[in-house]
Amino acid sequence: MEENIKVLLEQFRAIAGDPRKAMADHLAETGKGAIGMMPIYAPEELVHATGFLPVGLWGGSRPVTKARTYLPPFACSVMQQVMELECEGVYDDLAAVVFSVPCDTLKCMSQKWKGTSPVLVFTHPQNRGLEAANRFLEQEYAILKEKLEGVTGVKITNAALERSIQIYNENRAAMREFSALAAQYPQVISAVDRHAVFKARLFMEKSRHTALVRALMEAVRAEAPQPWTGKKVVVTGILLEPNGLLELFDRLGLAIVADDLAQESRQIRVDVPDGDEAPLYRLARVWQKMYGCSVATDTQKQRGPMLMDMVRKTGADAVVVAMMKFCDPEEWDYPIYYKQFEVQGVRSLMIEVDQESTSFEQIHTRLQSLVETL
Amino acid sequence: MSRYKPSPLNGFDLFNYMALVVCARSRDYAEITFRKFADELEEKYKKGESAFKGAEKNRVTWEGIAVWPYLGHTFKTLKNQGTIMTGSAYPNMWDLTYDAEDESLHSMAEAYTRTYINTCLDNKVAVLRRIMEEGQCDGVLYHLNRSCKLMSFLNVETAERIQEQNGLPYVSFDGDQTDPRNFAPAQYDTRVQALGEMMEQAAGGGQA
Repeated sequence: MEENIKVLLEQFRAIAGDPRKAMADHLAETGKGAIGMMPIYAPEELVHATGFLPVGLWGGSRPVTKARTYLPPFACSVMQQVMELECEGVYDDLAAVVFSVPCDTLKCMSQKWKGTSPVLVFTHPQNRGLEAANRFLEQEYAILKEKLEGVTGVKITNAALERSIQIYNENRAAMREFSALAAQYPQVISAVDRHAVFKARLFMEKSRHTALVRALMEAVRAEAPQPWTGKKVVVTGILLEPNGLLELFDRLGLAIVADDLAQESRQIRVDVPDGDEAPLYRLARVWQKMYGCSVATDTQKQRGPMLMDMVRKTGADAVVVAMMKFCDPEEWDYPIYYKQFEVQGVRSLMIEVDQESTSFEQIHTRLQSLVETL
Repeated sequence: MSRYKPSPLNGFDLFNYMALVVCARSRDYAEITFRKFADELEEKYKKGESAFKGAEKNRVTWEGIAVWPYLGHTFKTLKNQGTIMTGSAYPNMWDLTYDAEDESLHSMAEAYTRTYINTCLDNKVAVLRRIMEEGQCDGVLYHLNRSCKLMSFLNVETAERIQEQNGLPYVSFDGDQTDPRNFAPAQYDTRVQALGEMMEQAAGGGQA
């Protein structure tokens, strides 16, 4: 592998593995702090427009002990981790935490923050199809904007917001391009690396992330793609972590040729539309345009067809369902798209994702069996 | 009726009659049954009769949905130690007032947004405190319901805030509104006994 690619991938891994350093660097450079972005969807552009660094809070991989006081064992793994980190004061340097509440767990989590940062909550409308939903969410964003201005002391102008929207749309486009490119170069970009590029996105100012991703894509394209002798899969779920889990994919020759993970491609699926409407309204429209996600109501149940389409387009051999432990919305979607897979003869395997896990042998055996039967 | 001490109403009877409220709310026989039930309670009260016939030792608020597969067990454990349930926010969720003539359904929609569990922690605490006061309760029993995250994940915070305000003891137990596998009678019994002891101690002037 070309040295340049290695260096770039190392950079992504380092950033993905050390959000605290990203915050410190941003503060040193701009004099501005960071704002936590809770899963799953928030108008990050608003935070970006203040010059503060939006930092994704998608859990960690610690032993869960303190969180047990506040959450029963049947709360999802990622929120157990977030609660543990809250209790340890890890998030206390954040100027604020932005909370969307599209599931029951998040509704509760937003009201039981154990850290010291102020919590800024907003609500997505459940019925997304109506024009009234756009107007409602626009109003929610207007309230959030005001709260953010209060916390940061920065007035968010329309010009600044338009600039941020442009930066984010460019970043999303670059990431979609990267995802497609990674599918062609699994020898060069491992499952762990692919994830690192996505995860670094959660801790970097987006124009910088875009620049780094473009540099990586240019370096990768300089090499000719090699035929892949392993198998190809599409992954779906909330997230696919920790790295120990991703290493299994690399070890078993399973290339991730596309993902439908909330932490990864769902974040870059829908751009903020262009148009003459006010920026807050266009930001709100993203929620209406969102598709294929367990927390965004879809009466047509198009997630299965979407995944099967991804399988067809990428030539994947199977779908690996990364089921977030104790995530109701994801569990409720599963039987529906599983049946659709069965009808169409699409192979799939469900594995359970627990960020606390340190031993992956059982999943290894199951993935190995999948590979052998493909 | 549960505001009277001793209480003519056994709170678990409301759980029993909930089937009617939930499934047959608009039927005349639901109304007839409830009126009869209310009249009987009124009669009992006038005669000075109480639900536990002199055996009422202390009173609790039940927070959460009933453990339907173990309705009998959850009731009898309390009854055996003389603890009567005189407060629960759950049956009240079906006690909504709105303008039935409003064809836009706006009034009905607005009424449902007031349902305590659809609101926020502050309101949940306020609603439960009021229920405890009205029912003259000595403690709270929190149902950590495996099948309802929304009604469970704020229990710790609710309990802490309420205890800070009124100093009354509480316990929590693991259960489920539907799946019998998630309820252990022995754990429930132990927790209820602990609550009983704390309430007795508090009544005796000791520290809760």
